[in-house]
Amino acid sequence: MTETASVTGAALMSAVSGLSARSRAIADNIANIQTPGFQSRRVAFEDAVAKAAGSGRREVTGHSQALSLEPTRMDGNNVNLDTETLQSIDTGMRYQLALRAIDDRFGVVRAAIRTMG
Amino acid sequence: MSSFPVFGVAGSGVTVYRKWLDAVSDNLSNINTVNPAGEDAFQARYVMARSVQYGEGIGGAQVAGVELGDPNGRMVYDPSHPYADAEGYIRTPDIDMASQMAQLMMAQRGYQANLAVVDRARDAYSAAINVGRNS
Amino acid sequence: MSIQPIGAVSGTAPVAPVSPLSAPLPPMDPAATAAAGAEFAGALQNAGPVQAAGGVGQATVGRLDQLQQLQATADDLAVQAVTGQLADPSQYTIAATEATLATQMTVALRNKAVDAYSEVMRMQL
Repeated sequence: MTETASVTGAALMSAVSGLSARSRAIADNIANIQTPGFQSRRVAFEDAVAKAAGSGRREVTGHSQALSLEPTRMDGNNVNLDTETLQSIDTGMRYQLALRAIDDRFGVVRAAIRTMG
Repeated sequence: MSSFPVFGVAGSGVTVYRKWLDAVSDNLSNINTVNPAGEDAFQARYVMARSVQYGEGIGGAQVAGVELGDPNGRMVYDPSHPYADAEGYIRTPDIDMASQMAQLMMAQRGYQANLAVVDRARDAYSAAINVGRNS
Repeated sequence: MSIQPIGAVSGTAPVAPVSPLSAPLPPMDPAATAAAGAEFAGALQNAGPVQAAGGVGQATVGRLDQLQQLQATADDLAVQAVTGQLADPSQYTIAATEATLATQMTVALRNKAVDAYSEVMRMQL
């Protein structure tokens, strides 16, 4: 049995990989906060996951990356430290929540095995 | 919309106060910027905030716009200044240092308050994530 | 006083030999037996907390349906939570905890039912 064998499982796995990609993007953005001309990266996966799960498709959806449209500073950089920090906290907590959801689904099976026979 | 809406709300407040801090620091750094009498004075920036409703009770703050101070500034008599006009006057910005310092404190406290909200929200959401985990 | 020897027991009737069965036992009436069984089962149900019409089996099936419902709700909320459509994450975590506990409860009840069945089957009649 693999976790991706169900619609919910596939959606949760897609979300986890999307969230980890977002964490990497945020780390990249903060690392480049002083790089002239650098534009902040944004990772999106929510709509793709919601659409796949809504139509009952059992697929692990990918994520997409775009450049932030925030106005740039004089050096052409538009990384905003407090936005990135808050995004990082939000992403971390959502990562925890998604992992918890996956673990809960294992937990049901675990409960059944533990008390079997 | 996020799964953790408080981060969005507090984050919008953080952004508003940071822009206010930027404006105050700009005003303070230009408080002695002198222009010739024939030109406009440096205009102080005043950040205007307004509340925003995204619907479903999830709000926040946003910068509605930036108002500029008086371009006439104050005429100061300083005939030895290189920019002084024929009558010996130069144009300095009409910025009150005490008022700017008070605004600096308000902006800083507001910024800190929003970050404190983020901190508390993080604890609350952690508790929500861990519901039923201790069994 | 001296102890008298016990005299012979007199006056007892001779024991009659066991007479053989004159006729075989009548066969059990199936209808009557079923009626008695149903009455017994009814009494059991009224006596115990299990109120389901079909007994433990039906109760377990009903629980499984309910469990499936709880799991489906938790799964729905999980997808909503990770795609950012859920305003309050505790909605999901509470539903998930409910589903997990219901699973554990159902398995425990099933085990108890199996234990009770085994106990009855071992009973010496």
